[in-house]
Amino acid sequence: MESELQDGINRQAIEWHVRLRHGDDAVWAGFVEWLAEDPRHQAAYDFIEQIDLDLDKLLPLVRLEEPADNVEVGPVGGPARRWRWISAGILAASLVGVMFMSIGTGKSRFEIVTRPGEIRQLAISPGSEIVLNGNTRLTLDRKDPRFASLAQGEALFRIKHDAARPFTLEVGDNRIRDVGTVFNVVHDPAGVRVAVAEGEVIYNPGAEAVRLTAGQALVDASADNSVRVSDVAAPAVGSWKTGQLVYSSAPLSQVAADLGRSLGMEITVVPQIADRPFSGTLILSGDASKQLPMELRRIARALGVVIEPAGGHWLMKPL
Amino acid sequence: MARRFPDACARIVLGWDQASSVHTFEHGTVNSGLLQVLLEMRPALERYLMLRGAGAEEAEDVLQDVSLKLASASIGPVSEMKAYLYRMANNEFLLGRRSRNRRTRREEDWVGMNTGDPPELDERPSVEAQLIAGEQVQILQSVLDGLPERTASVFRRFRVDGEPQRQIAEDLGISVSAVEKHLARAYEAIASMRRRLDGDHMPARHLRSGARRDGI
Repeated sequence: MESELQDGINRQAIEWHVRLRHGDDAVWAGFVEWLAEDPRHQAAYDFIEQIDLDLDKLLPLVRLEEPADNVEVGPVGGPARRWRWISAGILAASLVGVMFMSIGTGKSRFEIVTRPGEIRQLAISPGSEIVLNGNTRLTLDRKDPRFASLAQGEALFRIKHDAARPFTLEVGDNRIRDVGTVFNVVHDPAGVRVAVAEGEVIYNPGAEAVRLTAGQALVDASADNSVRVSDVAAPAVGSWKTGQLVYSSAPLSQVAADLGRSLGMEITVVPQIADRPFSGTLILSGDASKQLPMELRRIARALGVVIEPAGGHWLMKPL
Repeated sequence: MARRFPDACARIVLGWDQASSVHTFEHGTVNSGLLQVLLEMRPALERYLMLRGAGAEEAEDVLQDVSLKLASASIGPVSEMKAYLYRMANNEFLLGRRSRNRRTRREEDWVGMNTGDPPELDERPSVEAQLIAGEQVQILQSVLDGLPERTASVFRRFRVDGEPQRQIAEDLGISVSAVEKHLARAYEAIASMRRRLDGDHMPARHLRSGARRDGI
């Protein structure tokens, strides 16, 4: 009872708030009377007004899609929708210059290249899809939907398990075999990083055969031959797909590499802060190219650093 | 566009410019009509401010600021003068609250990161504040993602791009009250998220923001 009444008051407060924005004399007079009716009205209005003021700080950090464009990024719909995506995606892809190349085995293999800062989502078979981060090169096989090869960059895989035909991803000389799963792979000069959100994968099944389950990550550094396994927050795996980079005590050098991939630029970190840990979430806006300077300032503030141009690349320095 | 109003301050200033329905703008002229109406409306505005929780002295200060602004700014003809003055008083009231709150709760700003706020002593947010803010952004993102497409689009055009409701309505071929309903739905989703959060984490601060004010 009581809470229904309160709900009603809260709803009225919101209605007034919306109407007042362009309200005329009469609307304001009505609002004053409403306030006077019940002391709870004031509290309810304070609440919504404060929320709206707080939005000023939060809204610049969230992504608000322009309506009806973008076939590449978006919440995952049903299977039918995904299938439409792949055709739309490939059509758009061919328009913006994704290469379809014949590599090895006949003409069935083709490479998809994303521009820096571009995210592309592909359905490779019903129930399985791959999201490519920016500056990434991935080879698929038209005849074999259970194969992919990540030459460079980052991709998130959601693979439907098929015991008879396991999915295999090549990453340079390494192989990852999934056992029905969602996992993220980064391949850059520093090495290979794999993080598993659901299910499990086997890293290099023929050799080290490291088994990674949900909530685990692996770093195979190119500098040495070590393979290190650590824990990772499963929901954070592949969150870059929605423009979010989630970190828990990650070194700034890694943050810089991830940002570079998403924003399409090379960011190096001065050695003195390269290992400084960062925890938190960075939200990238949809269109970094137009807003780059502002985007960079915003990110630099969140990281507590300065990012400035230095020759052909960008330098991350302490404040 | 999305970042046109980097902080509340900028929005407030813009808020009353937008509200003014200025038809012509002559430099150097003071809108004496508004000053006249202010004189007549003073008791009504005072009542409004007190209903919003201002003390007598605070209301006095706010109205003082309003009349100073009116006397020093060039404001063209205004069609709805009372509404204009209410809005101006409200904005001054919020600005005053804002700077006062900043003094008293500098250390514990709910979303104290990445804002376009003018530099302050404590400009660098604590790690904890960063984490909380990051969490807030994520939650807000999920609320907005959950809105129907049309509602989300109306909300973005109104709240981020700053388009007037009438213009949005005309553009979409719907009534202004339909636009209001979309906006109310969006604010309701955000408010109920916030209420849940406040219930979970920080019960007192925002629900009882009035108490903080009275104590000043």
